[in-house]
Amino acid sequence: MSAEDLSIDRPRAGRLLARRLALIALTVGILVLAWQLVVTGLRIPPYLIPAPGPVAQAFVANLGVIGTQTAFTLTAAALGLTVSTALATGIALAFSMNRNLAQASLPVVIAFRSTPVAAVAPLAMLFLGRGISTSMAVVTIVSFFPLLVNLMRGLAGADRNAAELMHVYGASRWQQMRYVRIPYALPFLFTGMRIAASSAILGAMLSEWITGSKGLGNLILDSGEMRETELLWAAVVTSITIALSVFWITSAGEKRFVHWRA
Amino acid sequence: MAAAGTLQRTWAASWRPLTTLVVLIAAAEIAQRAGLLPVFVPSPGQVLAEAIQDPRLITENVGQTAWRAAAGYGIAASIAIVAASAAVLVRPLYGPVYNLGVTLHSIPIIALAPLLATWIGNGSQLQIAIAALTSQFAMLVGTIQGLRAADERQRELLHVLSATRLQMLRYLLVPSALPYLFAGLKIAAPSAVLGAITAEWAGADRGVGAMMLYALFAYDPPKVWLSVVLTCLLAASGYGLFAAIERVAIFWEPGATLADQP
Repeated sequence: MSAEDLSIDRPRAGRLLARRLALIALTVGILVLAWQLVVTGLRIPPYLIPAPGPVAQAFVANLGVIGTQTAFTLTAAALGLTVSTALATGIALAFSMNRNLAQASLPVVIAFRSTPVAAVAPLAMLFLGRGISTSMAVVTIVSFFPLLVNLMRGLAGADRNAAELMHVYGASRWQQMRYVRIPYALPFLFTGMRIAASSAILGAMLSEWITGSKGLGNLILDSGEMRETELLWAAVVTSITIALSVFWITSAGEKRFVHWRA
Repeated sequence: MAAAGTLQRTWAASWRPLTTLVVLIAAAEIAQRAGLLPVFVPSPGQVLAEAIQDPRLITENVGQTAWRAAAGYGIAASIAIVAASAAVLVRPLYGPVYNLGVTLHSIPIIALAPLLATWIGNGSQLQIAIAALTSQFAMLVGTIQGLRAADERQRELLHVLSATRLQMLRYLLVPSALPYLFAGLKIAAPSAVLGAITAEWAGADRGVGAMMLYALFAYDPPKVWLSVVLTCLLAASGYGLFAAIERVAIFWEPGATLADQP
């Protein structure tokens, strides 16, 4: 995209972003208000649903704990996602350049794809112990398949005419990749990212749950067991916020790139 | 004749993966006997021996998990199908229903489990509720996409032929929706198993998830692997059941894929 396009686009995009943020703020405000009203109106005891005020207080009081645990979870998710993106990109490129390789290994890939996280996590813990490496491994495995499947769909779905044109021009295999297939696959990378990123967060939290090491998932489990309801809610709200923001950000990225393709 | 053909095709499609599987299992057995594998990778024979030694371990735990997953799946299916139909029939409902589904889907189940535990208790009902939450989205998307799949021209044709609403439903909407509905039902079945098992980690006395957790903390690798195999079998048989029903019931347009894969 050239500089000109950007200068035309920016004010409109800024306004859209501002409007969307305002909408989100409004929704959150209404939700918090409804939460408060329900709790006070129906006289719900605080061990079932604490009011927003005490939850906010617990959040501030435990900011350090929540911060470090969240950082741990996010680090595991980000590292795992990085590894799986690199792996998936490499393997997808290799598969699309070499048909024999793809045919020989695709069934194995598909068989592994349907393995649920609940089966991966305990094995990862047996192999890697109870540290961050278990979380990373689980995240890598669960986010690898959506990325690979979407990337391969993208690399295979390149425009036939464009590919033939390149062939007529005598383009090398690498040039085919560089100028036709990779640009076509980029939007699919974002689709894969959207699915992979949410499952990465979930995978990180699940493996913390089963290993009982650090992290947001474990904080939720612990505070639930200790009946520290306010802290529990603060951690739950944090994790929901993270999950939804990751989902929104990746969806927005996807929309932008799919739009660029169209 | 037709049956023999089906058999032949099934054989042709499955002999390669089956051979790979047998070779892998044999290789693992030999490697473990030769002392090439670490202690946390038991030989397939050990895992099998574990299963034969204590069959009640399997029947009791698998039965529990299967029952909970199926109950959650059933609840989610009925709610998701009704909600999706309402969303397609009544335009203004579409946004709220779909957004609620997406939001529930992107919230990590871990965040909800402790809250649900304080509201509805920590028994089977918790696992059922979580299984329902994890499986709802695929069925929601499947139904929505299916009900919109009817061809506009065919709809107009039926309208011109003055078909009643019931006939429209019988001859157009249901046949075109079913393939997508089944795509959703298939994907949702393993998710329900996953949900039930992860919910069991939060504290259940029986079930594959509980068995997994006990085995992990007792450091009993064969039992961990057995529970992992059981998890995969449960997930695969859930998927296979609906794939088999689909193959029998839907002969007109098999193998529809969902655009928004969860």
